[in-house]
Amino acid sequence: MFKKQEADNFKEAETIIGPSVKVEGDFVGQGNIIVDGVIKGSVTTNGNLRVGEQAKITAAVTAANALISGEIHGNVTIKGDLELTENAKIFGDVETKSICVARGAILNGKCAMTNDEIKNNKKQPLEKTEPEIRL
Amino acid sequence: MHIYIFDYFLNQKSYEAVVAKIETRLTDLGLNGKNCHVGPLKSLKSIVKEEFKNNPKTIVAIGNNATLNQLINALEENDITVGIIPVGDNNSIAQSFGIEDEERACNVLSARLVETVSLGKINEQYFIAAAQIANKETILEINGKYTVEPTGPGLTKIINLNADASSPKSSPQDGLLEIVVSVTKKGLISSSTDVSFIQTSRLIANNLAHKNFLIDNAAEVATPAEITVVKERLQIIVGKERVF
Repeated sequence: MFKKQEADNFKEAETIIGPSVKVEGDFVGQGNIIVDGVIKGSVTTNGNLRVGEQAKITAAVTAANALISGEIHGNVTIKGDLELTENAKIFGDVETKSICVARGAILNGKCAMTNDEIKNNKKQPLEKTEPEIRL
Repeated sequence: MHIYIFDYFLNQKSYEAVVAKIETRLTDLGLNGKNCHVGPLKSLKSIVKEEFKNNPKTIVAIGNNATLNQLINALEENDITVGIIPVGDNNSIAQSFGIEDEERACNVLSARLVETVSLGKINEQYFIAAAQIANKETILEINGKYTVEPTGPGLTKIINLNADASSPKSSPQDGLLEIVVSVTKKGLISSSTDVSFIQTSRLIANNLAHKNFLIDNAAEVATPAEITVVKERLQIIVGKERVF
């Protein structure tokens, strides 16, 4: 679903955490991030996030769009599109605008959609119709 | 006025012809100036300090990466245009400035295309290209927010100017340093390298094995070290084929 779009986005990755690197703390990036290693703490970026199959993130994750193939222990907040591939494992709550989950992916947590349409529907209360009484 | 500083190793007989060729070419191009030779009793730093009294227009280092590194550290806070004429080996910095050899360097000096670049600063020493250290026992603290620790053998480079093509995104004009952590994985048949890439403007590096940083392939700096980028610090004469 998002694969072509994601591939285009990640041509310009500004940060790459390779499989042989361990990151601890509050990782803040401005651009696209590719994670193939281990991160403990939090991951925040205004750009897109790609989590590789070997990656293991024990952190809260915030990004514009994300393609997850690795393991995340923590809450995931995505402003745009979230795609979970068949190897993805998320142990935490997910909040996203749209989601695509492949067969085999594990999502163990609450999933909330932050679509504008849903918000608008929530704001409009249901009209109460009083029953007509005929004498 | 131009000041030409010839590095110490150029006093060797094997470089006599090259030095004479450079001097002739500079005269032909009308770029005459004062020629100073580093010697056993005359350091590059003392020459620069002495020559600043004459308000030179340009200081040109003739030598290699080490010569240029010594020159930028000798400039202190003075704003002056710097040039480089590469001679011998270890001239990756000059090459990334689009200066291939001594003859082209003289033409580049004549064309005088000046660019302003940032410098890396490690503790109190400046570097143009990169500071590098072995991965073993190295920990990097980025912007005081998170730490990065390589988990295997290899090399950690803090890059300002992409002098050896290890970081194509590096530019000495973006005000950022690129951290490139290369970890070598040995397999049964062949070995592979994992590369991590992070951009920052400030970091602190420590090495628990007390290894030193090597800056510009020229000088060593002890750890722990604070590494920052000093924006628009150096005006340098470059060629058209520069990498940034």
